[in-house]
Amino acid sequence: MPLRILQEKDFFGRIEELQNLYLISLEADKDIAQSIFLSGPRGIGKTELLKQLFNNIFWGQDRIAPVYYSINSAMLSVQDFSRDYLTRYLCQRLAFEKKESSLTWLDGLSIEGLTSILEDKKAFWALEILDSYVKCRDPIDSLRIALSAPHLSTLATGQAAVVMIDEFQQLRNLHIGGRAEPMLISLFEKPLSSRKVLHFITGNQPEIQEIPLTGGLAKIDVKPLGLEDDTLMFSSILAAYGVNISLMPYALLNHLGGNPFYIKCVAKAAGSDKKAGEEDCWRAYIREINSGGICLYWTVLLKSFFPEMEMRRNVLEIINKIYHGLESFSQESILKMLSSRKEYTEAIARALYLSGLVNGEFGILRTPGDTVLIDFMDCLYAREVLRKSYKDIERDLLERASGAKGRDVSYEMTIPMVKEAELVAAQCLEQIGKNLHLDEELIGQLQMALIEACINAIDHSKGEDNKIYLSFSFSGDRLVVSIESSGREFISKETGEPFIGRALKEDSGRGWGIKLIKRFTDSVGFEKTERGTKVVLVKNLSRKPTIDNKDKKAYE
Amino acid sequence: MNNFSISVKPGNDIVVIMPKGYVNDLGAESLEHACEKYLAKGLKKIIINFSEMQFINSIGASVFTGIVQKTLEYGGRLYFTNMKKTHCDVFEMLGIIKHVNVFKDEREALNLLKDSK
Repeated sequence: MPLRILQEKDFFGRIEELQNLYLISLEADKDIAQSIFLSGPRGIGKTELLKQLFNNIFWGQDRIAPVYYSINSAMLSVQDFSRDYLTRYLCQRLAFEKKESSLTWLDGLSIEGLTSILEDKKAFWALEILDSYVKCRDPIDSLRIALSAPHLSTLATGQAAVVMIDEFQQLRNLHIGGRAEPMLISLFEKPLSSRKVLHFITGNQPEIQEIPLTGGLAKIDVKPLGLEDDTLMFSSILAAYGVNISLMPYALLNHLGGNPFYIKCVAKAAGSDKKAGEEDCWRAYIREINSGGICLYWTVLLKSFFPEMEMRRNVLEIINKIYHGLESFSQESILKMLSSRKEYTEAIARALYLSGLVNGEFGILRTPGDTVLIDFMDCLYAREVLRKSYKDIERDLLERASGAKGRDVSYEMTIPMVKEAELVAAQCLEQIGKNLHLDEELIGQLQMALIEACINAIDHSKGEDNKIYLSFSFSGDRLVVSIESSGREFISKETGEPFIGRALKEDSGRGWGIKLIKRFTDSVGFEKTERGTKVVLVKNLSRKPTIDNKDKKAYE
Repeated sequence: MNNFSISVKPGNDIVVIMPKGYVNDLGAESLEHACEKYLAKGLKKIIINFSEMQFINSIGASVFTGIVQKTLEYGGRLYFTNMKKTHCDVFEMLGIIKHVNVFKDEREALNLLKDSK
């Protein structure tokens, strides 16, 4: 099957990570390779990152050959796996050498078919490896030959390889003639520790971490997308459905935790509704976790880890207790709760952890950080155990969502009264604006006001501790910045506004400072405080800054 | 660390001056000196490209009145390009905008100015 890779325009927010992995890959021929475990929660984009990396290496240079292999759970007999791994490795390696991408994803290729291709392409090094594989009758030796192919091909051609293995945890289920042989995975130790071949492995993090040989790998965490990329991805998917979004549902995006899979599912659901108001997006989300793609994903996973019906029902109760109970939960707690056999509760506790439904690699079972998973499990519990209607479930979640929307954010910082300290404050405000996705122009105006207020504090307050205390508070529809400094007060008792020295006002233009502050804020307050003086700048965020006709003319 | 610098692209009769970073009193004064230097050499058209100007404070902005005045004294013209809306507002408040020509970008200004006398 051909590798399905997202187009560059649809791949969001991983440019730096991709570049980093690309640069690491280019070092593969320096005999210092250290294989890497790409770790991260489900849906975070590890697989797509590897596919993009493959693409970049394949087309971006000629020294290092990329090979991508995703473990297929239907190919876990040692014979099937060895043959599939080797044929795909040789095909992709040859595809890179000849720059023929059509060779990369040949499916269902027989050994004879591959031999014919290799002969045709005069790939004698590959024929040699394939020949030794064909002659071998022992399944474990065949596996050894397949796994050593990257090393052997590097020695034969002088061209190093980067091997990317996805769904690596599946290898724990390798078997011979239907008999599980968990130790077979240890045969990967040699290839993974090779300094000539760089391996990237990824898959389900809790299961991979249970494989001892991964302890020697370097680990790179694939991080959630930042809010900026979230919004870009969300609006771009909606745009593909012909839906333009006027007000980004930031609280929802925050709730989705930068997980590209969740963002994609919710954006598609909202897009197919052709509705993108904030509540519409939340409704699309609730539908997703009840019956959409997100629901399907977690349901399939739940069923695969808990195949028995009775066990599933118990698991719903246990998870509910773990997520919402006040006490710490362990296998002992499950034992007490179910009054069941120890083996049974041990199997549940282990599967709960390995599935990623709960955290707890050391036996204390805890709620995961994935809020979407928690919502999914809560919905499932409400539907299956509490027998709640969809309407009730939706109402409960919308109420919870309105709580998420009302969350306030505030930052505090202290800056010294030194030359150009106002720039530090202005830069911080810019970053806060970016984090909260506030309008750039509004932030630009508030920066002007902030710079002036800080200069006032530095020039006039002569604070004894030489510090300016800043606070930035965002409350959904307005941003309040306060600038407080100690020492001599600089506010006129008559006007409630700062003194501006006469000479200063006339000669240097400082008198414009207060005018600028007033011009670029919606309100300004000057307060006396215990510490000294506080200037409070308020900017309403619910409306875009207006441009009058005169200003427009200046731009045209 | 200096948060301000200027780059200059002198031509036959046009000079493009780009302030970069934070324009405070000192920054604006060095900008004023740069303008005066080229006016004294006989260049009459001064383009100030603001694309690299990050911030300006009120003192920095007020120095621009001096730049406008000097340009007029030398019989020159001042052209502003690549301005952010907020910065344009500041100059408008100080009454500077009415004495200069504002263009969207440097290329537009150069295209229009290259044929004019």
